[in-house]
Amino acid sequence: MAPLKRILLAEDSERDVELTLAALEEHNLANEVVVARDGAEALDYLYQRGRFAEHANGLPVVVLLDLKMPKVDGLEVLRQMRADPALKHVPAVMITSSREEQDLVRSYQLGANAYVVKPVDFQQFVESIKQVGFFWAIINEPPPGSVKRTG
Amino acid sequence: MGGAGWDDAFVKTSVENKIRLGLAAGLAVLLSAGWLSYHTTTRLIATEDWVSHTRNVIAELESVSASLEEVETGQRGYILTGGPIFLEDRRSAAQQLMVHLKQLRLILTNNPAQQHNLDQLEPLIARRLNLLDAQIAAFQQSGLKASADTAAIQTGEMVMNNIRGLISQMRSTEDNLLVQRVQLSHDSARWSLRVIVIGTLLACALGVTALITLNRDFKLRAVAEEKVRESQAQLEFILNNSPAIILLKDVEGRYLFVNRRYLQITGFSLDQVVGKTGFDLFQKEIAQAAREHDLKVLQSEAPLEFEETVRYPDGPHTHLAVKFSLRDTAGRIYALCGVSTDITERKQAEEERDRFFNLSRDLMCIIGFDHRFRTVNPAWERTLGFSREEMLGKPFIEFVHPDDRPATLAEAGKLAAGGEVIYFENRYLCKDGSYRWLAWSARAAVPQKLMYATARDITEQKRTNEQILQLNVKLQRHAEQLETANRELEAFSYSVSHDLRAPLRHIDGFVKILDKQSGPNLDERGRRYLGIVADSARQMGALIDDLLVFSRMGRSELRRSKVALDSLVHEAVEGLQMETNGRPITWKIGDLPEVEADPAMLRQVWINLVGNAVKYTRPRNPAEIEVGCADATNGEFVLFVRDNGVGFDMEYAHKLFGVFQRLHRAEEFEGTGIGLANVRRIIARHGGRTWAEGKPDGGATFFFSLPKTPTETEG
Repeated sequence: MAPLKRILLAEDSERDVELTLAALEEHNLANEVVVARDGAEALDYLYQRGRFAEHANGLPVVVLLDLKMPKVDGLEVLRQMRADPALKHVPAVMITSSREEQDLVRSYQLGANAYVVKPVDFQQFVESIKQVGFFWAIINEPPPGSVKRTG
Repeated sequence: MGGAGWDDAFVKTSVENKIRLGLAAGLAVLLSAGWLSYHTTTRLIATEDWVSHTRNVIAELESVSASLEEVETGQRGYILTGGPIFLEDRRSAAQQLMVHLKQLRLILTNNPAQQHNLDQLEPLIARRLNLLDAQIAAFQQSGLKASADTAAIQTGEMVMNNIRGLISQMRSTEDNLLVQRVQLSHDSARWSLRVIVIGTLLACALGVTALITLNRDFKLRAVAEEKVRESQAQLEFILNNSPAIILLKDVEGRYLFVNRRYLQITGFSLDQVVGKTGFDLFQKEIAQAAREHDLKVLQSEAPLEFEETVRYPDGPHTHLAVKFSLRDTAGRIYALCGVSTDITERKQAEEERDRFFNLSRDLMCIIGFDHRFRTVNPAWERTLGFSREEMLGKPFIEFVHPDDRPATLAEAGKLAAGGEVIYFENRYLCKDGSYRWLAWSARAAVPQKLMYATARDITEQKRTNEQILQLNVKLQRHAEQLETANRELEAFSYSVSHDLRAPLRHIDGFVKILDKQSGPNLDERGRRYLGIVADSARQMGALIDDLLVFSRMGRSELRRSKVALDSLVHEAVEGLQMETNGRPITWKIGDLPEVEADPAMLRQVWINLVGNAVKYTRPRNPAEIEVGCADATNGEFVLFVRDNGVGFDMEYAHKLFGVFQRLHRAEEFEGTGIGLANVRRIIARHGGRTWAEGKPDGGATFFFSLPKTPTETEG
């Protein structure tokens, strides 16, 4: 049984990583979540270089991108993904605390699949993540060859 | 003078010359004929004299013969009779003989041949008389016998024969002369007759010719005179129909002639004017002025022009009079002619133009292609301080600021080439040494080689412009500062939205996780505290969110489009379903207009207002909420949301729309105090107003207006 495809989470805030993982866990999404602490690491993972040079586990089922990160921000990661034919079709969801319309517009312009505003209310955030998780990790048919985890 | 007059003079001279010529010729002919007649007649008389002279000579010769015969007859009678009476006869005959001989000698003095004959005759006669005397003496001494001496008688007879022969010869000579002289006399008479006849005929012919010529000339002259009369009538017609005043005065200033125009204007009749002077007809000053002009004209060779005031029925008019003196054929001035035209209108137009030129605040000038000032108006002196005299004739470039000279000369060059200067600035020197900025526009009259230019003093304008420029720079700096501040604010609010909420999110998130994991282990109180922590975090999150929205409403651009307000209201009502669920609310939504506005912002307005109405009617059963359009006049829509909720005290109405201003405690009605502030800001940005009416427990009505024609103000 092949392992479920991973979820790539790019987030610089340790606490947000923990909360996001908690939210994902809340829904028993068992996909392995790979955490990149900035945009550069996220790109390293996607191109299997640097820290992730040894990994050979294929493309993630979805990339969750924080907008504001050190080094390379989420929008830049998104831009590079959409510019690369190999990564073009990997779903990308912007998860951010910004409600700025210009961020939202820019994200969709660059080809984001969804835009989730991290609310102060944790419960709301859990709901949002549940939507995203179901949509990309479970409800979506995995590409041929991948097998759904049962139980 | 017209052609007719000249012809007239020509005809006159011609006729006079002809008459003179004819008379001279006639006189000459008559004189010649007279002289010839005189001459021939004199000769005739002379020849006639000679004829009678010859006849006298012949008569004297016969008298001599007769006297001699009488002497012999007396001698014979005495001798035969011895009567002394015979002797007396013989003595008186002898005396007669001597008288005739003497006479003969006298009248033959001019004929030497006859004189010679006479010289021979006289001694012969003397001898005969001596012979006769001797016979008488012999008779007296010796009687008859003695006197009859044959020898003596024979000698006497011989002498007598000689005498007779000589007289006969003389007589014959004279007879010949007579024949000749009579012939000559006849010739002379005939010649005289011929001369007289021919002379008379010639004189007659001349007379006839002169008559014919004169007759013809008189006819020509009559035609010419008719022409003169016609041209005179024409001249008079022209003079009388001339719009100008025309008059003729003698050297003393008395009017000789005035035309009809003159009479019309002055109201005089011709009789009243002719022979009078200006002093008889007009006020002294006017007459005096005219007379002075006249005197100048009389002293001048050429015509002179004057401006004169002429009193018309409607007041004084300005006339331009051209006056000149008239001379007779001898060159003496005998009269003065004046032609005077009404130039009042031209004068007024000139004065108006001059006034325009003189009063103009703009500097006007005419500059020759030699770049020298020809004319400048008084504005120059007022602006630069240089007088007209100081500028005229000077090259304009001397007044131009040295730095501006090349550009100025280039503009002048353009003008000379037929171009025009539409706007050009340069600096001109003032008398005090300063410079003033002038803005030029100019065109040239190329054929006249003149540039016509006007300039305006823009020094003050320049100064103001510079100040404006400085102000603009300041303003620009302020705008930049403002923009920087705005950007900082944006960055700040971005940072707020991002970073300020993160800790809150973490508080809430970890409280939730803590509650989930350790909640069961906590007591009631501990769990309540956890709840308060989470609530506080959420409340702060809401505050931050509202504040961000409020800030964004002020900054973000208005995106106007046609918006149907009723659909926005329905959306807002639907959006409030969570709050309205299960509550008895009577909705009353009237007809709402379509407006030109930012739909997202207006949606926010409705959400806030309707949301407030829902919130503050919570204690009511049923709640009544009305949405409508109160007024659509005065170029704006007045919209309102009315409820029968808890209302408010009008005393605090001014606080309603302020940020974080609340009239209720949070325990009564939750809220951040941002909603109405947002409404006011959005409506203000659309150019409208917001206000409210209400009373405690009496419900509230919130109004806002939207202009029908969109205007935008920064709020």
